[in-house]
Amino acid sequence: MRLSQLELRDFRNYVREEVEPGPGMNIFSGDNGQGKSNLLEAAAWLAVGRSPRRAREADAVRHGASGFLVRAVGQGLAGRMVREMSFRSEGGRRLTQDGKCLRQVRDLLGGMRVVHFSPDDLFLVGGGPERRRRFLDLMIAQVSVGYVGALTAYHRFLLQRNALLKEIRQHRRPVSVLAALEEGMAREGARVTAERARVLEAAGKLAETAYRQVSGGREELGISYAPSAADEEALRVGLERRRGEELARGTSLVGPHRDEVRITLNGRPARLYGSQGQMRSAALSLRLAERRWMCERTGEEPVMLLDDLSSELDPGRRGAILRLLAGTAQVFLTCTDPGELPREPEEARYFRVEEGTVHRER
Amino acid sequence: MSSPYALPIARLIDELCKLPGVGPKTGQRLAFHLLHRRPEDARSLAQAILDATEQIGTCSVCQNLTDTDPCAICRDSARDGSVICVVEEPRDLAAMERTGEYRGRYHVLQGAISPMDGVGPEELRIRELLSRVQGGGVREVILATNTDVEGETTAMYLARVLKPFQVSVTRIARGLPVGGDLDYADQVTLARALEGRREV
Repeated sequence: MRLSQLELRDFRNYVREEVEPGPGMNIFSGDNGQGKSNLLEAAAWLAVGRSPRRAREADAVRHGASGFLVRAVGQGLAGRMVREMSFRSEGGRRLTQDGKCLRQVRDLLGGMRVVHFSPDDLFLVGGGPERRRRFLDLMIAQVSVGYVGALTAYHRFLLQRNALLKEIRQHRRPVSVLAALEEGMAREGARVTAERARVLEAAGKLAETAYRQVSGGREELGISYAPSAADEEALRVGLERRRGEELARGTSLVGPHRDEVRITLNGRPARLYGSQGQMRSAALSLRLAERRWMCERTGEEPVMLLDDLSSELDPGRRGAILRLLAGTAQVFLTCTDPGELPREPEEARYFRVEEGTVHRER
Repeated sequence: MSSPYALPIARLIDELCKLPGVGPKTGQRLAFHLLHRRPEDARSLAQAILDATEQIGTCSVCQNLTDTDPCAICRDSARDGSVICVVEEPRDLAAMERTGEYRGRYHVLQGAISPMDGVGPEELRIRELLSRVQGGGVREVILATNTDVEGETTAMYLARVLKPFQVSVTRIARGLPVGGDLDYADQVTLARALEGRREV
């Protein structure tokens, strides 16, 4: 997947801008607050239907405007495509591909694949388990519609079950409904867990390899999946066994929404023992693994959106990563000073970002 | 906020806006459409609404909407009374009827179990279904609720409460749409169809 055009209208600090990225490395430089990250955000939002900053559409409307539009023209295995997302303060959001409306998440994922890395990814390693689950979910969802189906159903079951637990606690409902609900819930939940475990088995190895390259082989990254229930039977039994406790708390305590992705450095939990630098390298390794895995699964390179890589890593590691990506994927890279980057990406396109405008340099 | 329209028009718009899927703009459009039609057209529409709401009730047997009790299907002696097909809504029954393939009787639950919306078994017509089965003469109960989370939960619940009775309980199969190309089916449907495969 390669983007040949990215257009922003009234999005964040952009009034109206059109960028024509090259097929390889694209380097966007500028001071802080000029709009570099907004470009990457727009591309990621178009691809997965959600802001990587978890912003709402209304938050992204330029001050004083009544809506925004972002548009990308891309070339993938399936041919040329145009994706557009528009938002009006009254009227809401509309996402289309080649003029066709994308109503559900499942229609939208997979048509334009991206990997988005940002300084915020530090929390991927150092933050709570939901960050890692979300990472894994979005990665799998971009290649498997079936996974989206199971995940959506599971979350719906979860909401229904939590509502039911509250009702039962208030003696408004017999417990018998719970067993009926858990049957479907265990089936969908087991499907989610099994797919996550299978994917992480492969992607984890890729991340471990990437970490060796990023860190120069001095430390060992370890990644494993720790499900709260291993399979459908275990999940069913678990749900039943913890019912009392769950009734008291009014929330479900077993299932994929409690699973954990374990990340270790030299055998010790990275979250607790990793330095900032190590956690950053680990997060970046996960993103590189995401790219490799998607590539292997679909035969197509996702667009790499690397936000502020230079503040994250020392020059040696930066160089290693750029060499890894050069000549394969299309990369959007932001930095404050392009001079900090190694010179080798010769075919790179350089852009200067200033107060919501983008100028091509050289 | 005061309406720019004369009171009767404003009232009409107001009433129309209470309908599902009708917002202020559509409400206005419908109101002016009605005002531009002949008075007898409006009267006939009003009468149709009144007739439907006053004459339609639920069938005491199958709980479907009907203007006679029992309903035409429950009275039809040519139908097989030993098979009951359980659906969520009257429109599901209508869809089933359109196939022309089913010659048994129905039971309309009038919804599906959804704790988030405060709907449990007590809010549905499940008690009525159980007393029908208990009454005897029923051989098979077909669970034709939707395949979504709520429909699935309702089916599982019914399977449990029907267990003590001497009836066979079946669930409709889910799978590929007929005439659809395999490579065109969405993956969820395909995965489910694979799960529900059977020997030929």
